[in-house]
Amino acid sequence: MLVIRSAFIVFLVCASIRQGRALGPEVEFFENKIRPLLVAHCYECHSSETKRKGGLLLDSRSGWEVGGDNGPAVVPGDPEASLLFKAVSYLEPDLEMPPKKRLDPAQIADLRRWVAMGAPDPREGVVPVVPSGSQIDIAARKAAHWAWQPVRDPEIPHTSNTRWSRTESDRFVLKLLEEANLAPAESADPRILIRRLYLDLTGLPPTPEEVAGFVETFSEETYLRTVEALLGRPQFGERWAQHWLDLVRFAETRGHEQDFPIPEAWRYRDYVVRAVNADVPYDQFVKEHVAGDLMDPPRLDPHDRTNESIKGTGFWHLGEATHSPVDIREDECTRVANQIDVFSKAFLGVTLACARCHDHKFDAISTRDYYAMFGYLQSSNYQIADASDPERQQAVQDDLEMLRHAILPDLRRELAAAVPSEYSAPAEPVAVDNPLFPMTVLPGETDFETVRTSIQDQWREALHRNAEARNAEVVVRSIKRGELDYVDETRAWDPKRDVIVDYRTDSPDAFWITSGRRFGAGPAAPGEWLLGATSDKPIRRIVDEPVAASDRLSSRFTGLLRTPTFEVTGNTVWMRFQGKAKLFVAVDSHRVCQGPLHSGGLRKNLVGEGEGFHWASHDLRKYIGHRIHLEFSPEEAFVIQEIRFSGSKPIDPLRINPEIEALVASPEIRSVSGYGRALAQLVRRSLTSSPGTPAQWALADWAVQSVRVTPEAARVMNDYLERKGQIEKRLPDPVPVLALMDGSAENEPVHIRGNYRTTTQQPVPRAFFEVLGGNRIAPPDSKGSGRLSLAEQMVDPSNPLTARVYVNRIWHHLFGRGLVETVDNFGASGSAPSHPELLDHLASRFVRNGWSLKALVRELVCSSTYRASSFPDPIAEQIDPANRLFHRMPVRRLAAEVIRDSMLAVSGRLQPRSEGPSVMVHISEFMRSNRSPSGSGPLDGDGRRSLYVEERRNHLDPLLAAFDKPTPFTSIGRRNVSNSPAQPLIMLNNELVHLLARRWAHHLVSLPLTSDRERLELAYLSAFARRPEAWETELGLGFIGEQLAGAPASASAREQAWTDLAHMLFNVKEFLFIN
Amino acid sequence: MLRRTAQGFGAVALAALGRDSAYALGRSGGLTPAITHHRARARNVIMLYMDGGVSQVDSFDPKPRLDREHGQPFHAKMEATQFDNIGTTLKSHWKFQNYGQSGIPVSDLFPNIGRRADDLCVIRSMVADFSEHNQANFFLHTGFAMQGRPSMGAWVSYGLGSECRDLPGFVVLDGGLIPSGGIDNFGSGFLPATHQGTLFKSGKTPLANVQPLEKTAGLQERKLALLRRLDQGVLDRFGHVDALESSIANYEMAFRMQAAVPDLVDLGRETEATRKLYGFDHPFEQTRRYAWQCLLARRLVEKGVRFVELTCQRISGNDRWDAHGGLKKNHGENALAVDQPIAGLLTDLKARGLLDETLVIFAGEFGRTPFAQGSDGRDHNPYGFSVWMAGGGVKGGTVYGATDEYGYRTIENRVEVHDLHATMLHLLGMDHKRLTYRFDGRDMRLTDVHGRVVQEIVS
Repeated sequence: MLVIRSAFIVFLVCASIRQGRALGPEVEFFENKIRPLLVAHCYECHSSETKRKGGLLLDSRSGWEVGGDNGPAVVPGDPEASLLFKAVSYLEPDLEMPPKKRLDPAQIADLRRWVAMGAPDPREGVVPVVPSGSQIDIAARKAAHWAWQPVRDPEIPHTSNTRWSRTESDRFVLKLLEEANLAPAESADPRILIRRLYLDLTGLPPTPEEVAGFVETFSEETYLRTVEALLGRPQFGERWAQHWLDLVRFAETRGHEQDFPIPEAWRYRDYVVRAVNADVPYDQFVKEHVAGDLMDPPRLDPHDRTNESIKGTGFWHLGEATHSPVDIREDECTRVANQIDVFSKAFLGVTLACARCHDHKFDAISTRDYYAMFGYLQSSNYQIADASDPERQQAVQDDLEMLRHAILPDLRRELAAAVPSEYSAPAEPVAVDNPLFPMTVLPGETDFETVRTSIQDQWREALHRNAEARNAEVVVRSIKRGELDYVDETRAWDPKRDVIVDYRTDSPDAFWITSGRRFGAGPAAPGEWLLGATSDKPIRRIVDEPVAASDRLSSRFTGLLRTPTFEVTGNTVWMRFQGKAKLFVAVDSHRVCQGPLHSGGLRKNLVGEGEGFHWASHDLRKYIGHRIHLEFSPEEAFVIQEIRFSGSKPIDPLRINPEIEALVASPEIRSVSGYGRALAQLVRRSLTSSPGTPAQWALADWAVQSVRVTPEAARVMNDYLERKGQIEKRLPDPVPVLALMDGSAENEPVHIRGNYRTTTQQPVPRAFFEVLGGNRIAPPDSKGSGRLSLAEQMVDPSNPLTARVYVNRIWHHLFGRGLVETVDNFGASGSAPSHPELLDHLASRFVRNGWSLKALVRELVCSSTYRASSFPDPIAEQIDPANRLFHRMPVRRLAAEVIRDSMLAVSGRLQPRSEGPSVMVHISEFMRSNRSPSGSGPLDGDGRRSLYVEERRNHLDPLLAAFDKPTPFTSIGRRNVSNSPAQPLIMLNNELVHLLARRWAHHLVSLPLTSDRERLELAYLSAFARRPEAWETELGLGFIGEQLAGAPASASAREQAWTDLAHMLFNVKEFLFIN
Repeated sequence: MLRRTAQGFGAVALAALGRDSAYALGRSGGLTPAITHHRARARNVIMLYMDGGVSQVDSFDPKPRLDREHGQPFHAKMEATQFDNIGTTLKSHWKFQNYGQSGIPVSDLFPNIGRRADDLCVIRSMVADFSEHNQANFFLHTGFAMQGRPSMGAWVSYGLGSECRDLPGFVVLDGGLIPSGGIDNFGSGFLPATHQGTLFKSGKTPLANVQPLEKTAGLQERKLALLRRLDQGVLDRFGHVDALESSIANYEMAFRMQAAVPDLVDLGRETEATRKLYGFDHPFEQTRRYAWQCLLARRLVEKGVRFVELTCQRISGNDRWDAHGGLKKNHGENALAVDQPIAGLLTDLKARGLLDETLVIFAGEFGRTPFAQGSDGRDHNPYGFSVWMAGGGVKGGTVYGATDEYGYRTIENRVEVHDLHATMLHLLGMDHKRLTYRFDGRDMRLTDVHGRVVQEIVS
């Protein structure tokens, strides 16, 4: 049930007691000193007559009682606790009022006195209390706007003209034309059609042979066959991928000061190309973008068997990022705003980012929707994932598991056999919890009766000291008062608050978050033998209490371990671990840690060599109050057990192994050497008994650290290592991809007016848009982000946006204008559909056809609407001047990439290779500056299509930029088509254009043709898919002749003349436009 | 009323793009063009962008308390800094003098600018929202801290069009230092690409692709003659549609630009006295180079280019004005490079009667801390810093706003970047709330939902 929220505006009723109170000296003070001051200095922004900045009104008593975004403004009687007093005192930088000029000290003193006397205030008036939550009426707005209504599958209209329409979509177009008394344009000439088809579907012009083949055999069947062939070409994916890349602000660097690279961005681009070519159903494609990392099983690339699904999530990370934000949280909010903006526009055609600061001005979207989405991102993190063949990885894992299982009994047996028959007293003193300790208590004493009590006394004493020391543990938290001014707050250590993760006790359901296979599927359980990597140290550790452990089967697996998100509440975090790993502290999703501010604070190498656990600390004082998580990427075998806040190195609990305790207490042990024998027996039993007890595992672990490996044990281990090596060879090489990773469930409160420092009390549960029923789904307490269910709601056929927005984009690309012209904005501020029924017809048909892009494109380009001539008809132009009814095809300027690619193709320079890392952008001397990278890509991009030219944010290709390739900062579904002088200047004077003209000319003059007439004909066929008319031939040949006149005839002069002609053919508008 | 179509104000300019040229708005060129919102006080802007951030307490905002507390721990409450390396209170290396009738104090960094004090309106109460260069740069240039929004020059070009048929409306004179954030600081964002800043570099070919590659001018003309005839054929073949016709017309504009630009940068016709005034004979190389930029700025303004922005010179050993260390050398050399050329520009504009209609703005993206970074640098300070404006309808010889006794925070008459933008547009005859462009379902503005015209400094 949707709540009509406006009905819930609460009115605060003034207590009537205050009314009619006599005018005492206190009120007199208010009237004389305070009211004038408020009127003069505060009402401009805080009165019901003017504005209500920060939600605060100061023109009534209830105004300051209710207060603004930060709560009540005055605490009567307590100036220091009153925000109003703090503000006028300029005590907090974010709260300095009045903002332009500080009040006089005398005025501040008056205000202080007034608050201290209890803030007497006779002013009446009621202030509406703004409940947290949306104030807009979602249901009413939903009902009022077409785009929120369900997609209906309308009946195919009847038209009087029954011959023109080829497809159902044609009949919708024709219907409106007939209503406007317009006849559709004639079908275009085959030569026009073939050029139109090739440029639209592949972004490349047809070759002269293709033109000839098409025109000579022109028929309905030829047309359909050609469409089919073009849809099957890899160039189709390359052209249509670009449309998508515009929507996700694709770029390969992060822009800003240093323009750092976005690692593996090109793999995302190639993923899009392949998805288009494979005609991956659009609903699947959407799901992969939102939750590809969570899809099980993922979609695999049929060629290299890599996980394609996870690659889709890379789009979240294609935005800008700075390297050293002073306010790291604000920086995050800006980045997230961009992610939400792109997400909502690209998939849903909705401008959700508008709701960052306030409920949407026009649409049925509230700030709650915005922060509900924010939570999904806070529950997820950036990762470079390994997309290599998951099935093969699984097979290798299974085999390694079996091998390990098979070898363990032999290893247990051989290690047990290696245990000495009697332990002897150690030469050096050992710790009280060492099993050899009982043999050291009274050196020289052999009678065990004598030492028994002393051992037990020493144990008791040690346990007591240990407990005392542990109880003294504190946590220190610095409170920052100024940049160099900290106050340390110390409090007793509290396991509930201060343990971040303890894999011993915490439930893996809540705390186990990994990517890849390196840490396995959960903590290593007690009793598990972690095997070593060499035969002289076959056992790394026998687990007695649960730990997170990497490399349990192989060090060749990839992946990382992370903690849930937690708030930094102490200065120092301590980690109990063994082995080597890189620690990354993820604060506010900041990743570009290259600058002076955070690079030291967010990374650390954890090195804990040798046996047993180590404690390492990391200073987080700078990030107190932030919500963060820690990531551990093993450098070699790595084990971690506990992470906690502490003011000093934590003291491990002392535990005496119960088996040893029992042994010492046993009256059967009469001598120290008897103890040594009994201990040996106990150890052997511990090594061989399966499953065993925690005490046995601990003892076994102690024993294997010191056991001398026998040749037999080494042989067993070597055999294992060799077979393991064989199996590992089958592991695919890692394929690093840019991706999302699921974290722990986080919800975000509403940032009032977009300011993260003032938030609502209650976080907003993660959910899809309320207007689409989202608030009823995605429970906030589920493990992980819940993105998969978000994705499923997005592609649910009941969602009226996803399919409509997409089919409209495709229509826009083919017909030059969307049925909804504002392709990225289906909201109330966007334009209404010109053909609402056609839009719904296409959307429902699209879903019925399995969300197939190719089926949709096929349907549209086979229509009579698409095949219509673009030549304007004077009468039709008068009736439909903007061509809103599609009475003819528009004349369209080629997209930037198509212009460059066509020049490459026509000149013979096009390098047809698909996919792979980008070619560095060419940095001309003119572009080069203090901000440029060293080096430069080749002028012609090695002949690669524009799609494969590096998209470097701070050095965008000038030719592509001049022809409106968008700056990658937000979703652009509809490019500008501008007309700037930079375009002709580039086409006339740019080196690349000259180079390609020369190349083309060289090709033309070297062909074994009999005449220049034939040469010109070929040039025209290549460039315009037609032969020149007589006057054009005359003009062209005349130009060549003129160029050669008066000069000695040479091959180079001929090539120059043809270069000049070719250059102008690139500039002829017929080359730059599609008709 | 400007809002003639759903497209908003932009439709006026866009309609003009359709025919003839991308630039001409068909106006007579009066000081108050027909399409401004109110009477314009300025018709052009010269933005002297001080990349990296000039120290206010060493230039236009003297603070004796820094001398008294030099070397002591900083006494006021501090904000987080970019480099997190805070030293002690640091006095200025430079003495201040009062100049002109107005007696505005200017430090010895800028003796020549000081002598123009009566033309200056020094705003000492600027605040920017960002401590980091690129965000602050984007903010100063576009009103947003992220890439992709239109630069103020693009907004001005979009709002007023150009009075010049052969040059773009927004020109950036690149001194060698492209600001942090790259050329997107001069981009047109969602506005038509026509309005993006065109980068002029020093040297023979100041503009990309403006130099024909043909061996002779005659050859290019013959080629273009061929092209014209072929294009006429396209019109017959495709029909006379707007997009084609305007694209053809655009070639004529480009052709004119090819001719206009070399003429523009040919400073041979400037008198020796003028050249000297700007500092063409200065012993410091960067001064001579910046003199070239300043003189070219005047010529562009004379031609009717709406918005000219100058970026800084690269000086060996200094990273812009960004003096995290070695303040004395950094600010000393940077000031030396710009002081005489800027003073020369102001003098020259005034002598030619152009200063009245040209708004000159001197601003960095933020100021610098009054306490040291390390021992001899200053970190970024967006909480209070100085900029100045001259000409174009601002009150000369005035100081507006104040920082605290350390020059750290603005305490009086706070001027935000959006206010600076609003005031600039106001002086150009435009209401910043009505200069809009429809994008993303919103009427976008340079000032977003902010901005206050600082009426107090308007003459």
